[in-house]
Parts: sequence; C-alpha cells; structure tokens
Amino acid sequence: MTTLPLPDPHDTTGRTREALELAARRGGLPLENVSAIHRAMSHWPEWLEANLAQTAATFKGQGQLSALTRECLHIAISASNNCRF
Amino acid sequence: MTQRGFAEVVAVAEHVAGQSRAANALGLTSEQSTGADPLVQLADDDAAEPAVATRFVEIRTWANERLGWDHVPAFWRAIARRPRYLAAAWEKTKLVFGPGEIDGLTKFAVALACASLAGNRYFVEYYQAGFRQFGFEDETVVELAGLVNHYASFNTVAHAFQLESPGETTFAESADDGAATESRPD
Repeated sequence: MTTLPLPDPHDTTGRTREALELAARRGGLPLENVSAIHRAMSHWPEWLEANLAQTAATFKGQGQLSALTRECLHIAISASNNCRF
Repeated sequence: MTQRGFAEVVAVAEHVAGQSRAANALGLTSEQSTGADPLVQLADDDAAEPAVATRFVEIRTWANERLGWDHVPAFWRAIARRPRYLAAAWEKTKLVFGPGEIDGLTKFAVALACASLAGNRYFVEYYQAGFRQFGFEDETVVELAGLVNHYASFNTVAHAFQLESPGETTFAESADDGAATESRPD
C-alpha cells in the first residue's frame, strides 16, 4: 500500500492535470498509464513540473553515455539506495 | 541485458560500496596530498614483503593503464597492512572490472556513481580518474552526475511513497540482444 493514495489522472483538474498530461506526453503514454512516481509527485504539481524539467535535462538529455550505461546506472543506484521500485 | 550482465553491474556496485566504506574507515579522502591524512600508515610503494610486493606490481600496472596513475594508489597501500585482505580485495577487483558482458566504460561509470552514493571522496576521485581515461572531460562527468541526481531523487520518492514495482524484469537471452529490460518510468 502506498503512503498516500495515487491520484487517478482522469480525476484531476487544473495545474495537476496539466502536469500529469505533460508527464504522459514526455513518456509517450496515454494519460491513464502515467507512471506511479509521477502520480505520487502530482500531490504537489509544481514539484512534479520541476522534476519533469530536471528529468528532461538529465535522464532525457543528450549526452555521450549509451542507453546501456544509463540502464546500468539505474540498476546500481537503485540497488544502492534499497529501492525496489 | 542478460542475467549475467545484471550480476556484473551488481558486483561492481557492491564492490565499490564496500571499498568506499573501508576507505571512510581508513580516513582516506584523496589520492592527492591535499586531503586530511589517512588514519593508518600507508605501506611504501616498494613493499618488502613478497606477497605484498607481487600484488603491488600488478596494482601499479593496472592503476597506470586504467586510472592514469603511475603509483600504487593509497587504498591498496593502506590495506596492505593485512596482506590476505589486500590479496582478496585485489583479486576481486580484477574479476569485477575484468572482461565480461558489461563494457569497461559502463563499469567505471557505475563505480563512480556508487562511490558518490557512499559519500567517499577518495573513491570518487579514483573512479573519476578511470572514467576520464575513456576520453571524457568535465561535460560528461556532469552528465553522469545528472543521472545520479535523477535516479537518487526518484529512488527517494518511490521509497517515501512506498510505490510498488511496476512489474517483472525480463532479461535478454544473450548479450547481443542488448538492453532488453522492461520500460521504466522516467
């Protein structure tokens, strides 16, 4: 069970809805499939927007590191942080 | 990514996590002399004890090739006070950083990220030297730091909200199949 309920994107309005729609577009997903982590952050839409901007500049940013290297970093960092998600 | 490739990534992560904590315990903060002094006496580069001297020859060669350092790094000189520890740690280093399904660049990138997560300045410097040996300059170091920032941030959010894993991870049958893990939220 999650710490807080995750908003259903279709039930949201205003800035929360706009932020979730942006997350969905960025991920190439329909709104109903926006990830749990973005739904969690949508409790404070300004925070979600800030993280989407940071994601665009880091994870989604252009660079010299390959997709495999990035995936391996994801595994290693998540394991080091005891993150099951 | 194959199951073997996944194991190689975890091996680098746990190896560096352990090394970094050990370096913290030894008070190692920098290979340069600008940091605080180590809390143990470092063995000389030209150690007299044969078992240590043999390892030091290998380590100096490895450090020269992989880190661009023409000496035995302080970490190895520190743990040489316990020759069996030195031998085991060095053999493990050769294994986890040796040839495998995961390329050397990726292993050094993972090592640098894990040293930073462990909060050890010494191994950040050590593995950043190795990372830069692949021809990367500050821009790519910052690119990697940005990825550490991103993943560590999202790990924190996922943990705080107790988010459940989005699904089973599937692995490629062979290394040639590439990074065929599930699609992850970004």
